[in-house]
Amino acid sequence: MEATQATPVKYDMDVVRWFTIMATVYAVVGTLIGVYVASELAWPFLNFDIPELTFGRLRPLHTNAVIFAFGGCVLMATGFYIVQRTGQTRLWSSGMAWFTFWGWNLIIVLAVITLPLGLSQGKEYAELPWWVDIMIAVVWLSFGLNHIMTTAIRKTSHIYVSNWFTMGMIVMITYLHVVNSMAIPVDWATSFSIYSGVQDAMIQWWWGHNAVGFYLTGGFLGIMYYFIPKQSGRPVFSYRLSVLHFWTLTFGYVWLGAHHLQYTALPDWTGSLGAAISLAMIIPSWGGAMNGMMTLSGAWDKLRTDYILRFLVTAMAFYAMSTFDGPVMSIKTVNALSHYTDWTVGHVHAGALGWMSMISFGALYHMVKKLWNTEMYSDSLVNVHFWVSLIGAVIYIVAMWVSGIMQGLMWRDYDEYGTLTYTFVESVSAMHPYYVMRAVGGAIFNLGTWIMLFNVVMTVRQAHAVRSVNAVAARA
Amino acid sequence: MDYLHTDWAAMTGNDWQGVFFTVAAFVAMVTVYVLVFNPRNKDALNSQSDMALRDEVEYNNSGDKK
Amino acid sequence: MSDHDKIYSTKLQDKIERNTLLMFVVTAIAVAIGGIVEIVPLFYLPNTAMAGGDGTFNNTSHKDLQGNAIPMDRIVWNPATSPHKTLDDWQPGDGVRPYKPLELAGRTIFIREGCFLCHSQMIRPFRDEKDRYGHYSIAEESMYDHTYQWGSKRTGPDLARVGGKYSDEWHRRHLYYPREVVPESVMPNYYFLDKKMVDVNKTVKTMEVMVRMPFNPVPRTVYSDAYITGAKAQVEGKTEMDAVIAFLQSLGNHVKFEEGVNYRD
Repeated sequence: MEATQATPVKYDMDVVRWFTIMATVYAVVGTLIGVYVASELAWPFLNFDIPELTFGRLRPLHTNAVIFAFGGCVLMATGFYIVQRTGQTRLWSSGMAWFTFWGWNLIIVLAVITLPLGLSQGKEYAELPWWVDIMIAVVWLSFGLNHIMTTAIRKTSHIYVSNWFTMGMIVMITYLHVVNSMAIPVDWATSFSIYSGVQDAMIQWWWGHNAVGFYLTGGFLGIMYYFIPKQSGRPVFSYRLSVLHFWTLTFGYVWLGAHHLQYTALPDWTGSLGAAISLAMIIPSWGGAMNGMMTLSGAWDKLRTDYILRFLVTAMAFYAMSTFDGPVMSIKTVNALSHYTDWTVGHVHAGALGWMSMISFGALYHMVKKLWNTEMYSDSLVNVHFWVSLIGAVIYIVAMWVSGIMQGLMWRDYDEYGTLTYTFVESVSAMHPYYVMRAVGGAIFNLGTWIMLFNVVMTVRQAHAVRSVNAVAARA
Repeated sequence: MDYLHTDWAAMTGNDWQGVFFTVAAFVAMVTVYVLVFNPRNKDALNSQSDMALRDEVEYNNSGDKK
Repeated sequence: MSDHDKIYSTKLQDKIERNTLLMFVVTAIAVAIGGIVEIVPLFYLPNTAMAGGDGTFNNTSHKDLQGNAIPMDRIVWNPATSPHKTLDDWQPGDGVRPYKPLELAGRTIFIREGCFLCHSQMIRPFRDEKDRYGHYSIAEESMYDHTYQWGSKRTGPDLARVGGKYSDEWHRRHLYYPREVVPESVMPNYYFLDKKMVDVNKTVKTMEVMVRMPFNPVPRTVYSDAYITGAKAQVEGKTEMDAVIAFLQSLGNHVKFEEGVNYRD
């Protein structure tokens, strides 16, 4: 402790402030597009016969906007924030951090332009055209290098657990992005994967699942391990549990991709291996979830008054739920029913709305207060946002679980004569009420992001107003 | 019992390779569990648990000098 | 000195936590293993459909009901041994073949429009899927599919064997205004595909890319230089609608499956 009291560091927080604000903006945009594509499935006239608005072109925009625009900005904001504060040092390179900021936002703008124009590579969550992929690699490495070098020049003796998770994410996403994006371009708009069939499928889902495992889970666990202790003012419940959590997840998550390909033309052993390790991941995942929640032990009363803490802790509950749901779905007999259905969509959104977004919202509110050195413009709006998010997420997830299981059961149902009971399109029309319900749930969730945007903007304005008043007073 | 029967003679090189990786992964995971939960390692592993809270002392909230 | 500065230098974890480079290296190794174990074997193990149409197989073999090996040339079309020597002569059942130029153009549009987000192309070995879509898909059937299109979601039905199930005219009307043909459908209207002509040069370039692929390229014996040059005539004057329909009609009838044979081992 003595050592750290020497010369105080002035952190590089400007770039973090901008990432924070953009994350808030993209939360609104990403979920808004989500509501729109969800509505297209409920009311197909919303495609409006405009190619750029069709579901097939907008759905990648929704996934890219929430994963890479919203998720990315949250991860980069928190990543740079945590690594500086836990290392008690400035960023290794402020200029490079700004390069990352502008580069990442440029990529997002390019996604908004190219995806509706139909420039898709045809791989889920990796649709962006090949030349944008190259930009992503460069910008991502600039983030990674800066983060890791900042870890290296830290003033503290140890590297904090959050930074391990971020480092794992940086390394893994680099592997994944480079290998999965290998393609030969035909022209600027179109390119084809150098792999085909079975190999391409496995590589795609190695990418697809680990983008979830290391980016949407690992990266956000880094957030959890910093912001829950900070917000509650308690040390991590069990640091050694987090050691276990990190190493088992880092080693184990990589294997899970194959469970997306059960019963396909992929060799059976691959799917079985994926499923076996998926089940093994329940233990560390729940260990981590418990670790997050138990950090509050002895301070549970804070949940009554601290709305930011509510976000963070609810996120842990959803994390525990999703990490149970996922392994169950990877079991072959369950997967036979759940694969190809809305159950998968429900599972993903339990993670995305319940876990990833909730932990992000909590972290963003926490950071806004710290970064602008102020209180929130309205604490009760944070509370409103919390309940709106929770209600929206629950409606969404329940709708998709019901519709997914129903779809699966309808597809495999036989009548007494041994013929299929339902035509495919009967299952489509049976989904209509759930698709409406999903759109409503999503819209409620989206409303919450508007509330947050408003609250954050007002908070920042208020902070600036106070600062200029102080400045005037100081000069007088 | 039939279910657990394995025709060891029919195992190919690829099968053995798979067995090796599966067993190695299992052993590695068990090792991590044992090391982490061994009470003798508790203090070492937990020594940094309050690290996140230590950055508050010397600086004000936005990281500026007080 | 307070508690957290105590040195546990003998412990590996403590060492890793103190050393950025060490942590980076250990992490980089830990995250690589699973992917290597699951992916690399797919490039050499039998029955993962690496290479093929020129008569080379990585020991892939399927056995008929008597236990005799089914010649791979019956599964994957090989112009050298098949009675049908060119793509235009190829008949359904001759074995898996690369796409004809118009189909390839259609496939590019299929990817562009994101059709795979709602339509899978991978039938699983279940009774209901057999009754609904047909024989389960095998690895060889997507061996030429650069950027595979198995999909992950069935908002609409599987398309792996949609070829020949409906008439061209049905497809045209359905793609134009799906709800005119299937009132409950939630598919967007794709009438705009009929307003645009197929990009001839792009199709030719796509064929050239397909023969240059490092893994599972289209054999030169199929996409010969002469064939690629001749491709222009096949796509000229066709609309994107024609191309997509040609692609859909090409799906799923390549292999003649024998009842009762296990093609998955």
